[in-house]
Amino acid sequence: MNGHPVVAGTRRLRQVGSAFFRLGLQQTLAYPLSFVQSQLSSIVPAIIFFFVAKLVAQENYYTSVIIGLVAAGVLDAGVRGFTREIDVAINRGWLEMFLVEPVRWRFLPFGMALWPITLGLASVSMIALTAAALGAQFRLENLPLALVFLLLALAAGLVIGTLSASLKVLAKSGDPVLFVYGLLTQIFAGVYFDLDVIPAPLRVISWALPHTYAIAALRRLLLPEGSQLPSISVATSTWVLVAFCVVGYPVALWVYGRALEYGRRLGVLSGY
Amino acid sequence: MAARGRSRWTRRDAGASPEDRRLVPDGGPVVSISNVTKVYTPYPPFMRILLRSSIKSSIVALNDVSVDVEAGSILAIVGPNGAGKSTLFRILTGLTTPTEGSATICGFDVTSQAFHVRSRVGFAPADERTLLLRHTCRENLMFHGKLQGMELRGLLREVDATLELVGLGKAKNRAGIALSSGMKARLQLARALLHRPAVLILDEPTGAIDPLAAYEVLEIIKQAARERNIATLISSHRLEEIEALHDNVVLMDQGKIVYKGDLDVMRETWDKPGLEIVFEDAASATRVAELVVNMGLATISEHDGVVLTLSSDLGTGKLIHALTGQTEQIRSFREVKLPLRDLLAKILLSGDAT
Repeated sequence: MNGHPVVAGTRRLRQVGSAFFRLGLQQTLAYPLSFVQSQLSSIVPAIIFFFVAKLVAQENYYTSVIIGLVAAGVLDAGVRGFTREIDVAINRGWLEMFLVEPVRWRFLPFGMALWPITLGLASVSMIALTAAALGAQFRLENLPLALVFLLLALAAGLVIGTLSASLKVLAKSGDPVLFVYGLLTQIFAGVYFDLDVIPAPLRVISWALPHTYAIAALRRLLLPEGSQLPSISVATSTWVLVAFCVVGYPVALWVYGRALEYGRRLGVLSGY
Repeated sequence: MAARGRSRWTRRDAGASPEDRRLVPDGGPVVSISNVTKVYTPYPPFMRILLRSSIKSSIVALNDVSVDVEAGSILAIVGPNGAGKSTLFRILTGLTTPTEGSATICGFDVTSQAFHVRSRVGFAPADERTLLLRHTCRENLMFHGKLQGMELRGLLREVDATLELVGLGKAKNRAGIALSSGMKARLQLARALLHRPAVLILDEPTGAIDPLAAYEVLEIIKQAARERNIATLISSHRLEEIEALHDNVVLMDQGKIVYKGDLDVMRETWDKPGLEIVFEDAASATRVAELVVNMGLATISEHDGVVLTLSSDLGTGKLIHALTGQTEQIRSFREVKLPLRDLLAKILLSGDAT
């Protein structure tokens, strides 16, 4: 059974993942103050929006924004994790060595993203806990379902992250994909305000973003009166994100593979 | 079957197929490079938006390069900057592809089967930044071993053994950043050797270290190549090191192989040893210098007071014989071999070594 390609592949993936996870952990612990700073700074939005909510004085606004931040944070962990690690590897001179190891290049996004995703999830948890301490109200009975949904959001984030990394290995610096995507999600995904505020024609952009579905579904699940919201159902959001992952991931991996092959042919993989 | 150093651990190689276990036929080269040409072309317009390039027109980095390396032998690749050494290593490690020609390692094509090649190659790039400098020597090797697919139990043993082999046993818990340049070079070598590769590719492994440390690193390389039967390719700018390796040499210039073969044969072919004569007085040295030039016996390589160095096709014996009558004023004499640096420069400048 161990010789079955799927079993062997899964085991290999776990081995590669654990190697990169440990590398990330050791790297983070090598700079303790920087780690503490980044974790502390992650709770700042939870505090800022606590005061903004007082100004807005709209029922559940604070909790709504916090859910938006949590959903966006989880997606961003998937979106930015791999690209950030590629960036670190390029700047520290490690990428060349990673690419000459006998690791299938399609395994690298999983392996390299594991630690930054863990850090991202830790930051998101800090936001949620801080907000809860400041009075945000969540429907905790839906928490298990919300966590499963967050995993789906994370997977959707990885699709975009892998596409972004495809350009990153060629461009070396700058994240053209993330720049555009980050801009769009900040404005159109409904993290800080309801989609109703956005002019109707521009809402097309909102519904083209996985972030929008993740945020809408989590608000329905976790807001005290979330089931009364006029947005799309959790089931619809789930199907959209599942479809996005099923179609998007093979495409993203294909694009990433082609980018590496192109970079290899051009001779830019080992240069910085 | 070519004997190779076999590891005590078992490899976990995802997707391993019977083809994956391909070995080199008896006596065949472990590394075979056939008519490899690499041309770097200017980036297409969309790439230039992403990344600036200094390549304005096509550059031939390698031009019809063919060379084989057998198990247990060391091939030293020498050449000035831009000769094509690093490009050749990048092709062999799968980081770039040849424009024409092909190369195989253990029978696997480096372009289409790069994944299989990578577990058989131990690569030490010239840049020490490829090490995890905030991590200990042990952590560096553990990380590499896991990516190589080595099982944890065997890996722990192999890591300690390899660190001992390169002389870093006592520094195994020291962070890379705290190592001297010589120790970093050893750690790079340890990483390349850890998974017991069939081929070692070492890009200037002694580039940044002092001569004594370089000597020790080279001794480890020679020992590993011999004992583990590893085909080794090594590039170096330190010509005395190339000489110390006492093996085959490839001299490259502008992407072409200028000379390929045994270092001793190269010397025999290209090096006409000079004769250094020390006279009792400067006047005698001057008289003999004029004599040999007038008689067309030799050319003067150096004339410094009482010391006269002659270069001649006659050979030492005949030259001494020709100087009969002048020998009373000779205090001492010796045959002087051309320094390797000068020999290589001579070959490069001649342009027709092959």
